[in-house]
Amino acid sequence: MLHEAAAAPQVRHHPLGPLLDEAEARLRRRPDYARPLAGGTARARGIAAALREARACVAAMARPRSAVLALGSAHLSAMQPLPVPAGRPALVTACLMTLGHGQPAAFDWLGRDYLAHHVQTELSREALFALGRRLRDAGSGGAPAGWATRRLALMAGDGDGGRRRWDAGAVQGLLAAFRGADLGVQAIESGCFEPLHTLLSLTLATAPAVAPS
Amino acid sequence: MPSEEDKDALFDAIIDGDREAVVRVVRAAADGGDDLAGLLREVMIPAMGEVGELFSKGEIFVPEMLVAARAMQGGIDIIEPILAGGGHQPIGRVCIGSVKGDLHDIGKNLVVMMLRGAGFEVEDLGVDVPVGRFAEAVARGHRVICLSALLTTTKPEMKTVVDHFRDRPDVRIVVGGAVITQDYANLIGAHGFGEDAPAAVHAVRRCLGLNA
Repeated sequence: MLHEAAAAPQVRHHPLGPLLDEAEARLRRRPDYARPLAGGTARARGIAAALREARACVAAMARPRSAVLALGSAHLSAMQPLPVPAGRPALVTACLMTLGHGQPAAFDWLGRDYLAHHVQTELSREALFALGRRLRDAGSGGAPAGWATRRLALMAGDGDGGRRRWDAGAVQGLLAAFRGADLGVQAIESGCFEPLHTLLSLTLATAPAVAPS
Repeated sequence: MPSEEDKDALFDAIIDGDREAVVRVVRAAADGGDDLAGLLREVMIPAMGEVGELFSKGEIFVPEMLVAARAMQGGIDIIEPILAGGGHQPIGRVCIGSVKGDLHDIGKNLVVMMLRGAGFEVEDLGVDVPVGRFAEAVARGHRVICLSALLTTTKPEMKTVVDHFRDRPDVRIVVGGAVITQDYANLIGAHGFGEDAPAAVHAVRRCLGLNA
């Protein structure tokens, strides 16, 4: 029993500074950064400089935005059967979030420096995940309190030994529902997002089962 | 050639990612009219080889490998124009790109840096590269193509490229990326596979008949 779809996606702009603070802190805690940065060596100085360059690049280029949309049966018909429990109210929401900047432009901004670009890529990914966590914690799915939620993956069998893989067609179909949000996100034929630092999440919320009286 | 002490300092500076020290030693060698090709071959490339070994053994991480590669590049930027002016040839020319449909560049860029550090001339074709652009690179004289893919949906494009050059035994193709395995490389008929950046360098060297 699926709730009706919302008429238009809800679009929000997000301040970049807190996302970058969280992203950089997480990066600095990771062993691959923490260990060399702790040394006070040329290696540490090089990585610290790359972090500064990367942060300046993302700060100059990224414009984080998100759009949330409650999906109805029309949106979902093209996807694989969703695990919606029979007879229980359910709500499927899609959340599209992007930092808004492209990899080639960032590479050029950094003077085509591969080290700084690598760090920029990792910093951007962490910032995007930070945005995702904030939206999740804020209950962006719009489900009533007490409903169980689970993430859904857009996967499909590919005939390659029956393995499941990223369902590019479903991604493109779902993205079409966000046309009105104007986030500047496209999915090319492979299902790869442009701009790259983009996430599309799908959440199923289900009402609690009612115990028989 | 610079003194043994300077060569040792250069070797250590590359491994430590000390770009300023690398530039200082190489600049002094260039100003002194030293054998720069020998310096590159006997000191700098082996230093980057050591960096690759340290990475493969899990003793350093990717950022440390890239800092070393950037330090190495500081020296190459001084040496390359001088050697090119003297008709010196790189040990090989390689073109590389993420295949059509794949906009990810993080793995491809690691390979670019490590190949340059190993003395190869590398043309980075970028991301979302259709087979036609690899064909154009071959027409420009490249004989080794490195293909990168991160997505399950884009790895079949590697077979498209391999099939395109099926009748060109002089063109060798090395594949790699998060979703690529040695089995897949064998399945599509690629000539080499790199499970990480240093392994990709070894695969390219094997393709060219150089000691891996």
